[in-house]
Amino acid sequence: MDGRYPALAVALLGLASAFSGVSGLAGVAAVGVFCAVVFLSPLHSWQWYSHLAAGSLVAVAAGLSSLLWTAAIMLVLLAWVEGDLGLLKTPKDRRAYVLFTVVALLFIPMAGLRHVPLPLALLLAAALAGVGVLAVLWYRLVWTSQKGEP
Amino acid sequence: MKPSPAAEGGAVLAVALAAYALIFDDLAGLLAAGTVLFFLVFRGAVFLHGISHLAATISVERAVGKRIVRQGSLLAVETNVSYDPGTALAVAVEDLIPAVAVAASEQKSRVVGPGRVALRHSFRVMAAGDTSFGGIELVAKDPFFSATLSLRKPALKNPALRVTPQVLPLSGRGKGHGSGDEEGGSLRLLKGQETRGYREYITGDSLDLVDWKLSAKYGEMYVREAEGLSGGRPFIVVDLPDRNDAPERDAFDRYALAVNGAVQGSFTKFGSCPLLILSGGDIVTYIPPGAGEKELFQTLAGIRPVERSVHLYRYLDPAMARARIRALRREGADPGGFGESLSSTISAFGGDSVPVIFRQQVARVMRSSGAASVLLYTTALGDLSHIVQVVQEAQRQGMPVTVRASGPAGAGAVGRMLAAHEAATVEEV
Repeated sequence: MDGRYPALAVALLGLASAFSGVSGLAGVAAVGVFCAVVFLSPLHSWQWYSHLAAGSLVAVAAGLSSLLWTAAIMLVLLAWVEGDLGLLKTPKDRRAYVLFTVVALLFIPMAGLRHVPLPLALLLAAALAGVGVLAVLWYRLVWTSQKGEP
Repeated sequence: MKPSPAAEGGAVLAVALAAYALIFDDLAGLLAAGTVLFFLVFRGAVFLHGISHLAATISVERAVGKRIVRQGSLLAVETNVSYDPGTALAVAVEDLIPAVAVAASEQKSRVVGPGRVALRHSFRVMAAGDTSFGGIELVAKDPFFSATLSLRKPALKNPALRVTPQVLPLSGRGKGHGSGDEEGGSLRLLKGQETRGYREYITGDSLDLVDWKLSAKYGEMYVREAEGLSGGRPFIVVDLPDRNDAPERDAFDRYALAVNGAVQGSFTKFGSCPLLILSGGDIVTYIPPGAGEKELFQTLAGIRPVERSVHLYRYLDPAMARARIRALRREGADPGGFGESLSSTISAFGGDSVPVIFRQQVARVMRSSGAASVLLYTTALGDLSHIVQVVQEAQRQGMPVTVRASGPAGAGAVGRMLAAHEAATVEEV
């Protein structure tokens, strides 16, 4: 994937959030930092990580206006990461990412909560549950590989 | 399943964003952290789905020279592994050799097409009986996760191998009826040795071992297999050489083969085999009697010359010191002469010292093994002081000892070393 398009999308989304809400100067400054990182960071295999970190700054600043901006910017950033690492080559991979996007948007109702601790606890519980399910599935796979049957 | 540095970096970013969100009470930071965290879980699920699909589609074809092989012989294998080429994961495979085999060469991997890999390697099967390959080891990775999976489904273990025992020449001369009438054949059964079982004749077997009655009955040639030791379960002690005194590779392989044969024979007959592996004054490993066959042969597969850190040649055993003093006194040492001064020196420096820790450890495991006899294998290279300690301890516990040493020179060296301990029988491997 050509990295210029997602970078442009992130910058435009950041600017749009800055001018449409209360983030204003903070949003513009975050976009400035992001553009500096994108243009000035050297070309290496970990470039995607600096882009993700700088893009997260834009997403957090955009969240001052609306959490929808945050979600949109993060999803574009993660799609960029996947493309950069060659994980969106097949239609199956792209469908899986669309499914991830749909499920990730379910986080948006958190906007109804005013403070962080409760949603943070819910997020940690969900993450632990996800890791637990993966662990169970992994050890089931290890078991079936050893024995040939579940 | 292990996270790669990329996944760890993502997790660090998520934690940093969550910390920011918690400190500044900013839901946008939490949403960003949650999205990154959820992305990592999503990548984990995709990876798991990919490797599950690979494990389900993998198939193996092995080309082996022969299905019936002799114990210890070299077997070359070409393994063709096929899997779904549509996977996004980077895949590497390795052939798992039988549990009782020792790899003789590294596996050379060659990609022969999309989703097809050919592996070439060779190994030696060290234990007789029916066995099969261990399966396939699958290594898969993507930018966020990696995993190693041992696939041991029956279909991936084919073909089955039949390993026939190696016939080891029995040392010693046959029993004749008088002078000039002794049989010099080295393949006769020793006194007290019994036939453990029968197997089909293989080209190269001595005709002396053919059981003609059984062969006539079934119309095929069968040979007798002798047992190692008669009586109760033996306690097998394996002495590994020092790395500096290591024998040639082939000689050590023959030694390892003899050890494997003895352990396998003992395990087959008694269902267990206490095994002590030592090198000089070092105890390397002890496998208690209850251990399984797999553990035993995995341990034996790893034996090789080691670096000895403890040597006992400077240690004067109290029992030996007392024996020397008694011998000197029996000879009637001259007052003030060399004999008396040697006797007083030995008494002063060695006669009352406590047994060395190595001896205490050997005594403990020998007692707990519940064995009826001791079978000691040694390459007889380098310092042999520890062999004397083991033999003395076995005698102290009333267990007959048989020492099997590599080659005639080794048997001779051990024989001279143990000349004073008449209860020990020395044989040649």
